[in-house]
Amino acid sequence: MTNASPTLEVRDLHVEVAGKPILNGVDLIVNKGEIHALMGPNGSGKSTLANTLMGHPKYTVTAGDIRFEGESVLEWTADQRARAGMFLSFQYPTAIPGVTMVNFLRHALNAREGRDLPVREFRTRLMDTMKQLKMDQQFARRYVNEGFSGGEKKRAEILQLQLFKPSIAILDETDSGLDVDALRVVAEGVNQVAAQEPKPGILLITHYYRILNLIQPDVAHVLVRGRIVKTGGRELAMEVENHGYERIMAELGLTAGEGDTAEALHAAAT
Amino acid sequence: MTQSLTARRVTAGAFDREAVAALSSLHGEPGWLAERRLAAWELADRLPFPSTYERAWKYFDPARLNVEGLRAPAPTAPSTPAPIDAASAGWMHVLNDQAVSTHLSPVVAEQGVVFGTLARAAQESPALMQRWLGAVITPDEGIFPALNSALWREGVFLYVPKDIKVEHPLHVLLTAEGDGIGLLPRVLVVLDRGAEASLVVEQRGGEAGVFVASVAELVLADEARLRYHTIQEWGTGVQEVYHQRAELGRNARVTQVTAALGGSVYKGWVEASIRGAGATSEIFGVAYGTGRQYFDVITTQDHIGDHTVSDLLVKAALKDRAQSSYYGLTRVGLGARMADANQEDRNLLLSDRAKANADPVLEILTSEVARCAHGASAGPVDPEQLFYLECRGLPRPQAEQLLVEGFLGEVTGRITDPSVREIVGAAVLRKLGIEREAGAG
Ligand SMILES: Nc1ncnc2c1ncn2[C@@H]1O[C@H](COP(=O)(O)OP(=O)(O)OP(=O)(O)O)[C@@H](O)[C@H]1O
Ligand SMILES: [Mg+2]
Repeated sequence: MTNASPTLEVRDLHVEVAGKPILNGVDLIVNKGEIHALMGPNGSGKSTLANTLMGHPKYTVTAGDIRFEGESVLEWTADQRARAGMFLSFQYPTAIPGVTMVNFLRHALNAREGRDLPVREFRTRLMDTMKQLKMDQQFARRYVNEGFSGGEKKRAEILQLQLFKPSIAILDETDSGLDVDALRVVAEGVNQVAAQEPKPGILLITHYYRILNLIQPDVAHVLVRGRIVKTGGRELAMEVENHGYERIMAELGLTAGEGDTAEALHAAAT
Repeated sequence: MTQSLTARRVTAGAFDREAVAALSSLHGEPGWLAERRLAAWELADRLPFPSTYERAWKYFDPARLNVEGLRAPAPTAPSTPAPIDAASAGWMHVLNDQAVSTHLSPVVAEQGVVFGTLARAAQESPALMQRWLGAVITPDEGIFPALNSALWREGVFLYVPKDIKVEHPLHVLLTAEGDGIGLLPRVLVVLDRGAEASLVVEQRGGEAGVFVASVAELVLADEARLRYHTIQEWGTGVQEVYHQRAELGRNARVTQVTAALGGSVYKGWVEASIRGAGATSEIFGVAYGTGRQYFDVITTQDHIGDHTVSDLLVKAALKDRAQSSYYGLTRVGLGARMADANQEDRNLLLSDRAKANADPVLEILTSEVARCAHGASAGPVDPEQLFYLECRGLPRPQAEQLLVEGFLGEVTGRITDPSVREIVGAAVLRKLGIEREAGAG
């Protein structure tokens, strides 16, 4: 690990899905200990970015680079990235019927830590973390994400985040679909991870300002049509909250209508 | 090669007419049994050897069965079996069709439960034997049941008297040693009215050239409950053709569980005659095929009585060039009003060259049906599930293993005896190559 290198560095990233360009040159640097908020309209490419960062096989990188702690990870498989310390909290976590949470988490944690955790140690860690997240112990016996409510799925993602202690955490709308209490529990979980040494970088994808009251970002970005069009401080998130994306786009000489090409957006943004 | 010529193949050598008579005299069998054996042998000698023209053999050419030049197993000396779970009501170790040790908990024996060989039951429980042996699966059903009926050696017999509930499972360990031998295991279970039992049959050992033709007859009187489990872990190259059928009285309930893991060819029939009103049949199957293993099951849920229920879930995970075939028939007879039937066959294909054939069939003769559902599918691992696991650090082979474990775990999870669920689960994990620390799952 080179301390000088950013935890996550995305350079001019172009990504296609099924031959269709979705990301059109994303640049992003997240340093150790920083919290970045990423906002953007539906379909702008936030989840595409998140999935690409983890190496989802459906997303093809056509140009640019992804560097994790100074090393390009483009050739790494998803599991290599995960074991190295990259973590994605999914917007829509996949259900895996037949595989219990406890069995899954044990395999996953063993993989992440590169050792066979003694049963005792594993159980203690699991139960303690579940308690913090106010999760019922019965949860561990259930099948992974199978029949979980929206909020339960998000809590389960945060449970994994806390267990894995990643160097970079990408949280894709982990705040969506949570009630007020659950939101607080999840935010506490994230803040706790954020405070742990060595401090991770966090990329928090969200639509809502309210989470940013609970998790204070250092930097905020706005992604429109596959490109980060504006970067600022927390006040940028506030602006989005109050005025929506249209004002930002108008400011940049962008219209929200159909037909503007990615190139036009690019030209406007730079 | 004509059919009649091939037909003689199974009844030559060690399985000729003289062998039948020799067996009867060796065991000092009563006349009725000796006569039945001979009648069955005549059928085995006469019945045509199956061919792929028959629906039952559509996906597997029976000419590939190693039935020629088989030897009868040599006599074996009694021995002590590997210890079986302490939570067992009794156990029996059968090596090459010969019982080498039998144990029944004295508490259970005192209740009138009989657990031992069929050979012994022929002497000690002649009425039950004469009534039920060969009554559920008759020798004329095919060349293999006929051969088994003629030449089974010692067999397994379980009888549970009226209203007796055997709390813990009974275990049978069938092992094979050597190659080029023909084995004919036979099981008869008779549960009297209101009786309850759970039986686990584990099959292990053997090598290429071992051919097994087995028969299991399960008789449930009114209100009886039976859970019958087979864990097939034969050695590489063993071929088995099996016939298993349950006959249900009023409100009886049978659960037939099969785990197909070992051997090279494992083909059979698992059936339930749901005769008594209000009776329930459950059929659960898991298979995990690797290499060139071939698993083939034909199921029948035959609704004969009123308000009968059947549920079936068969799942196969197939790797390499393994293949599975499923042909499942749900029949609802004219007199079976308000039947509730379900069958589901799922196949997970883990390689491009693995193959699954699935044919669920409904044959409904009445218009008064409560529910009659069926489904079948075959497909690769869900890429999103795989990605989710990979994103948590599991390398692809391990992620795939976990998905297979989960896929099959949905079936083993339905086993109600905790100790049996553990044994079956452990057998699946053994095949998956995962050794689990106790108490971790
Ligand atoms: N697997 C896929 N197949 C086809 N199209 C896809 C796929 N993934 C994303 N897309 C398309 O790419 C675009 C960006 O989708 P993405 O999910 O990245 O948006 P998002 O910013 O996360 O939106 P939201 O706020 O609704 O979650 C959309 O037009 C979407 O339809
Ligand atoms: Mg999204």
